[in-house]
Amino acid sequence: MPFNSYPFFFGFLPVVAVGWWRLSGTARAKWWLLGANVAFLVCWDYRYVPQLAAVIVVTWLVARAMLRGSGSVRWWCVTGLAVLAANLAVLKWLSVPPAHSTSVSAEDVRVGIMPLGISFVTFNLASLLIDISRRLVTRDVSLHDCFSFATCFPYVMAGPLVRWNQVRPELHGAVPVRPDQVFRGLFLISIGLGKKVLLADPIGMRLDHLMTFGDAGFVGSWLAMTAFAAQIYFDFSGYSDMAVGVGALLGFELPQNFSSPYRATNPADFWRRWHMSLSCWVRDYVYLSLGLGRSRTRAIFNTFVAMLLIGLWHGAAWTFLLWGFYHACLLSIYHVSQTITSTRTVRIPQLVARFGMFAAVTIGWALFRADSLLTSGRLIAGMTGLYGPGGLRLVLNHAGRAMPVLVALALAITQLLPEPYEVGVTSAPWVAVTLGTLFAISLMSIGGTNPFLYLQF
Amino acid sequence: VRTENVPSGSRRFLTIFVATVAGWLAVVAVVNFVVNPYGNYRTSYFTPYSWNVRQAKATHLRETAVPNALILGSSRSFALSPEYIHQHTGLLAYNASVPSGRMIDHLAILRLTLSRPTAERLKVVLLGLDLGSFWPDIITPMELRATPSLFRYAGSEPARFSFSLVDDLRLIAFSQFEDSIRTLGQARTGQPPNLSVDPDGVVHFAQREQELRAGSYDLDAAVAEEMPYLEESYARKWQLSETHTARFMQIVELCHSYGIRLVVSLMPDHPRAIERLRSLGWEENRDRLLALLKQEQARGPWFDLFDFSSIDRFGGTSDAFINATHVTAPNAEKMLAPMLQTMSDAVQ
Repeated sequence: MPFNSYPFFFGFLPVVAVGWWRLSGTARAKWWLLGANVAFLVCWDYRYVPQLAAVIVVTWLVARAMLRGSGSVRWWCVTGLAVLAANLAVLKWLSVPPAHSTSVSAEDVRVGIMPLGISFVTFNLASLLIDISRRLVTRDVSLHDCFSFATCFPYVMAGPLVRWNQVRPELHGAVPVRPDQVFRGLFLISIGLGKKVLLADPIGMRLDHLMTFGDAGFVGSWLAMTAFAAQIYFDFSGYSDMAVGVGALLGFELPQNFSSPYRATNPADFWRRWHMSLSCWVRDYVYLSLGLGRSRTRAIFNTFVAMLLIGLWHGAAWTFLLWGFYHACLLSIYHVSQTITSTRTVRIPQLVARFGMFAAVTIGWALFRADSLLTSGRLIAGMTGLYGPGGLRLVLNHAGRAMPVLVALALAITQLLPEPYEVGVTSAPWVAVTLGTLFAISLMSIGGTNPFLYLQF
Repeated sequence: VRTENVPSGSRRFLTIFVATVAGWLAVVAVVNFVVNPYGNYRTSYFTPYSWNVRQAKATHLRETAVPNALILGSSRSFALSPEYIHQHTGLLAYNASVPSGRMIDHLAILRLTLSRPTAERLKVVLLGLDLGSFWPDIITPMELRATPSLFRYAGSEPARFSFSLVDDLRLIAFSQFEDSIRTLGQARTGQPPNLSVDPDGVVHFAQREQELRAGSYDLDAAVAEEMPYLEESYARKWQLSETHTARFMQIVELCHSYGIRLVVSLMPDHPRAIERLRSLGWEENRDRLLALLKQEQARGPWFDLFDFSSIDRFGGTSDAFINATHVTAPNAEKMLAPMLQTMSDAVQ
């Protein structure tokens, strides 16, 4: 039951939200949420539940042992993390994603090619164990809490990644839902669904046609990868907006995942804006854990470890690893150049820096989108003009004349409009009518099954 | 939503929001139902923008003379010409193939034809299959269920909740709303519909035929356009559906019991599509389907089998295609040629 489906909007969400509002503040609320989480997972595929439950129970046993001081906390933490890492590695390496990144459908996830949101569940549980070892979590963790934390339906599919202390009160239903959270929730859900079905899906459909066409020249390769840049941003940020919005309807304050990433002016800025919950997770639990010191070499080493982990987190493929490596190189070059130029005044106009960063990120998407190193090599060769300029007419014949218009519109939105989190939502009737209209148009435009790209991770 | 369950202060906002959404959905649903652009509902105030091919063919088969040769299949069989068969064999033929046709469609059409008092006129059934005909992707096409006059010949088919829910909600689909608007525009200008069905069952797509005649049809683009769907389907490594197999055997036995010669042919894919699908198991799929058909051929009542899955099997050409999976007349005639003798024998 993905977020962009009729059963979710016409059945699951209204029932769960109304039940939650009614029970909020009572002891039964947490059981209602647990039931909703289980129902959500069972609706996806009940065969996935026992395996997930086993991982959660093991993590809970380790967390309890750590909290009760049974033996070395460090030893338990390492053991728990090893179990989680082994589980993730086995699932990722034994079930290599098919074809290319957009080819994994909800059906593929459901039939067991990849359990739902396994990377997100693993990282959430890992953060719980590390927080306990750092004494950031000191109160006892019940099995119920652990299960709700790991499987909470607003974020179980594809994040955002959360920390135990961020959501624990809400998991109990102890915090009543505020009216402004309802406004904000509906706003984010409407905007998120609109991003997905009105922009990401139409662009993705045309991009698939263009990619099928094969070797395109300079124009075609750049158009394809620019389109993918727009598709993946609107797809994933649309999902994230909906996840945060669904959470807000239930009183959760989930972290935002994006902050206008294509307005970044340098690689470090980009990673402060793109998939923020993952980059913060890696920064807090990996990068800083490796120790900084004053050595520039050490910082570069940490950067490579962190970025390769982010690459591998997306899947067991050389293309993802190379994508992480590429971004590690960008970050390292940037940091070294900052050190060198810190004594001199080198000013790059912001627009130029923004454009350059977008181009660098778009080249990186060629590694991310391709199904093999060979394909990504061809794409990058096309982008450098090795296969000639290519013809715009030929490209338009395959991608459709609407493709450049859609991509231009999408990119203009990324540059000119704020993220929905930055917009203050009032309870004025015209806001409700406008949002209702956008939501209705988006609902009517849900066609077939276009799964969110990040479901495969 | 009971208002006492809503966080206080947000009731008015939520009410307006829900009312706006419900209002828009109701408007679109009512327009789609009244205009009925696909001919799926019981309203008939406007000529459908796209005809319901099943409805049209069911009407023909019920109201016109029972043919001697009946062509069954999906849209891949649209190019098999009844006129060509008539010219070479003298048989009155009807092309009853339907878009996204599945085994249940073929069974329903055959049963409808055999329900006619003059059913004994039917001598040959030509069934066009493809490598996906036995895949379990679509068991019962929604277009069939939206055609009661044909669906009642399909036998008992328990409707799956999820399918019926999705079908009902198609009423609020924006794409259907767009076609409703086009239908209204067509009613205003009086232009003929893009899709039409001849009395012998031949389906015409006005725009495509115009492009083909003008030489502006882009076959390369059409092949490329179909590839993502084909690749995704092959990547799923579907097993052969037992339901489809059982229905296929019902067709075989029905033909046998009425003394009808059944000729089964595998329809071709474009060479470029085969090349791309090879790594995804195109050949394994073909061999598996052929093995199944030969096994049923040996076990049950006999039927003729022609493997035309690639153009080299019948001397076809790569330019006589509409896209990756649909042939045009020159290839269709080359496929029909070896089957003509079998059809003539059936009449003898």
